[in-house]
Amino acid sequence: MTMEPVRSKSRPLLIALTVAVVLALVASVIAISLTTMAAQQRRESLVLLKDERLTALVDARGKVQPAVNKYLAAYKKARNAPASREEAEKSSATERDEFQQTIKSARTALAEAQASNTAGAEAGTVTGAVDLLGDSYQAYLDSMEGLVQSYPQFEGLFREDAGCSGLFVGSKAANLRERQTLLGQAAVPCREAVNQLKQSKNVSYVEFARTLDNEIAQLEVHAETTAKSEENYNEFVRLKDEYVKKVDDATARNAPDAEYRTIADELKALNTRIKNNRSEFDFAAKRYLNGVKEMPTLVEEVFSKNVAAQIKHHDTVIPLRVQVLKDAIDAELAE
Amino acid sequence: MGDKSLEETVSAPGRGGSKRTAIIVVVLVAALVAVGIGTWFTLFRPAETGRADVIRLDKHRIMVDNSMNLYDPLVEQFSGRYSNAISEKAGQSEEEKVLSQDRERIVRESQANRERLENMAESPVLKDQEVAESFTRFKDQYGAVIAHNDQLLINTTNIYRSVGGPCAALHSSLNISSESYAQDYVKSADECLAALGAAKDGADAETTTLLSDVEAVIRGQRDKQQEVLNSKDPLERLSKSTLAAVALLDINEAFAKAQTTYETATKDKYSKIIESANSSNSTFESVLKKSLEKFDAASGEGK
Repeated sequence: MTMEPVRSKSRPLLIALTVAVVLALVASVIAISLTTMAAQQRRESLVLLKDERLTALVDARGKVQPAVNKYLAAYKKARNAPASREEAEKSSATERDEFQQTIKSARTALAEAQASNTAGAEAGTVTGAVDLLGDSYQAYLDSMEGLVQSYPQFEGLFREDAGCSGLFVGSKAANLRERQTLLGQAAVPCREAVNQLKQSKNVSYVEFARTLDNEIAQLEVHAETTAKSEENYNEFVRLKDEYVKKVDDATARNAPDAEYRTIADELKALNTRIKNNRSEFDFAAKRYLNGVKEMPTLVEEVFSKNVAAQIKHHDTVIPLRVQVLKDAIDAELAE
Repeated sequence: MGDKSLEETVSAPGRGGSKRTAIIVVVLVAALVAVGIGTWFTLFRPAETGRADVIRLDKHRIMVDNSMNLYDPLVEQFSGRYSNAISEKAGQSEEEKVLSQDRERIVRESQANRERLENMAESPVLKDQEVAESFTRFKDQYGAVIAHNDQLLINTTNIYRSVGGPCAALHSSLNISSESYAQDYVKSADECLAALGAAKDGADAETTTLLSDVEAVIRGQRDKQQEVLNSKDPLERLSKSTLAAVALLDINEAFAKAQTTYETATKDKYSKIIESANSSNSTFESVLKKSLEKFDAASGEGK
């Protein structure tokens, strides 16, 4: 009987205590296992990113260059067959589709790598490295896509399509004015095509188009100067004949010295004009010829120099960025 | 039912006592387990994280070191594109595009590198004095490489804007035998000089020297051409313009000298920075390796 009150008082207390302890234990076990699970998931996601997604990303990029080359070769071959731009585009459609597919796979691989769960306590380095890699990878894909997309435009510049070959007037012109006119006529459609190429997603084409556009403008200026100089020269020949006549006439009339002096002064002024005209002509003609002579090199260097340099750039940057990301992941996984 | 409750009331004291003991035992066991887990967490985990922290710090070191190799290709791409935009007069919006894409890429790279260094500075491994010292040196040296490349961006932009821009036309597109040469020259030279002056803003010592050297050469030529313009007598004019033309012959040499001075100075400066960075990297690497070996030795003794 004496125990009754004690029992009824201490029992609920003990039960409450036990329940509390058990609850605390369960809660801490849940908390610990949740953090471990989250950490585990994150680890798995990082391992997946490093071992699978990055490998897929690198593999997908490895397929881009061959696909580009295959398409360029197919298109070029078709055009040299010979074929029009439309026909060549049609007969290289398979290669182009394959290229598009390759780019699409690469973009998917990139999206998957970027979608990896890298969020976490110290994830700044991993997320940052993913972003930087994504930026460079994207730039590479865009430039390759631009290279393929604008290739028909670039390739057709000096064919009948755009008619830039008309810039090489050569011996078609009877005189320099005619040369200037022919050049001006060829420049109109050529320039239009060049301006289209300026919209390309590939910087090498854009830079080339910019330079070519300026070159054409220079050629036009020099052609105008040389044409004008030639016309001036013809005028000078006529003037010279006139002066010869004037002098003959003065001699016949036994003209006063003052008249001779005036003629002499005028002749001196004419001489200066001839000299200046000559210098302007030489300056413009030399530059005109150089411009024409260097144009094929300019075209050739787009692929031999600029595109090659661009590819080399990406071949250096992207593997480095991949390596940096791998090290960032390794740092996260360290234990 | 009645029997049971009777039995319970009868044997209540003894049973209550054993139950209480059971509960106390359970609570004690639970407490012990909790203490056990706590001890495990506090005693074992630090030993483990310590080693992981060293590995982590080392990986971050490799990351920073590798990232430095990105500057060359990135700067090369930026300067190529920017120089094309300037020399081909692509226009303001194209220039801005290059700046916002290709230059920003380098700015972001530097930012990421600085963050990595800051991140490393928080590593618990730095409680070790030797590690801390070698890290401080590493951080300073790599910070210098980053700063150098940041400055290089400013220099490149300034040089292209001036020397590659208004100044380039000066000795390539003017016709020296033309009547208006002196006039054209003075006009172009003034534009070039203004651009050179503006380019010094934010430039480092080497670049300022280069810009000043170029400035001196151009100013000398400009003044000579101005004398041609000032002379009223045709004969005087002729002699002045001959003198100015002769002076032009030396201009390439003067430019070449300024350029060589600049290139040598910057190259020397950069290779010194790289050299110090590399040496701080290898010191830091070996200190970290030693620290890791210590951990491995300790865990070996434990077994």
